[in-house]
Amino acid sequence: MNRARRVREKWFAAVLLVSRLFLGGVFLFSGVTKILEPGGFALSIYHYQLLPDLLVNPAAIILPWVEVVCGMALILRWWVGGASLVVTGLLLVFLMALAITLVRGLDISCGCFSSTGEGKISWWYLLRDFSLFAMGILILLFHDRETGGPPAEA
Amino acid sequence: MGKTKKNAFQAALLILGSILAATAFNAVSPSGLPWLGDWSPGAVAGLYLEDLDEITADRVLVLEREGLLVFLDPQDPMFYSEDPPPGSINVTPRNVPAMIDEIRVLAGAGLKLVILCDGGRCTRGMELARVLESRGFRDFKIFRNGESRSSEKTDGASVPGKENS
Repeated sequence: MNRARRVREKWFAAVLLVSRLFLGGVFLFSGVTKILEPGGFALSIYHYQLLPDLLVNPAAIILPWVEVVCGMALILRWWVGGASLVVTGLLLVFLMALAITLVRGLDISCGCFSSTGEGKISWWYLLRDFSLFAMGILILLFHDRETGGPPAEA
Repeated sequence: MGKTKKNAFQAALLILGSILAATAFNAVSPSGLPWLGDWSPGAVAGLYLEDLDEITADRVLVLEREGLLVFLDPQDPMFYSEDPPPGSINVTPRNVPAMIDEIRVLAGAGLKLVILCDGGRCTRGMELARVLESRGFRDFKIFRNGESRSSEKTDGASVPGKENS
């Protein structure tokens, strides 16, 4: 492997490292804020009007813990493949929920990080989630290259 | 095991672990939720109101007569301009930053801030209350139009400043 390729691989590994830590931190923070205020988060889910009433509370109870566990796994580099798969799947669901809400013209708060003090959903939120989704895909596909070594031979 | 299968297996275990942790935490947490929630309109309004102070129609009448209150109407400006309730200013949750100085002056002048509800669910009113709280305002009341919890006669104050029809 030539020197230029090694440098490129190191940069790519650094990007993966930063993305993993950032995404893990975002999910950990997001999950903890929701765990601290489950009633408010349930209300946020309810306002999206996407889930049947029966599923609002179970989602409000379980979803924050999925975020915390997967955020921790990403930060600690433990089962990164599985954690990034869950995180990417969640972000896809969040993206769809935001898009549907924007198209329907609902004037509600995001509920992404807390149930209070957040702005209304806008296209900016969609862009933000899409950036996180792209990071998730990157980690999911290439997390085994984070060590800076050569790409695995097919 | 292939990479995809391995990822899926790990993901399933992580989700399972999360469900177990969530169930355990929810069972012991004082703020834990029931697994089946009541999401009827009345219950939702109650959720919003649980830690906010309401004001009765009787009290509103008294304060209004003495000129000691100002209504904060969270309606959309377009609807507000059609028929603004007397003694009110239009403050939507979104325009709180632009109105914050004016609200401070009113509160500083000793006027009681009373947020008007906008229908059964009072969604915008409650949201305005939350935004004001996040800005450090605590001394305000919520007034549910015509739906006051007062057991006494309340019709006269169902719409601020208007005659009972």
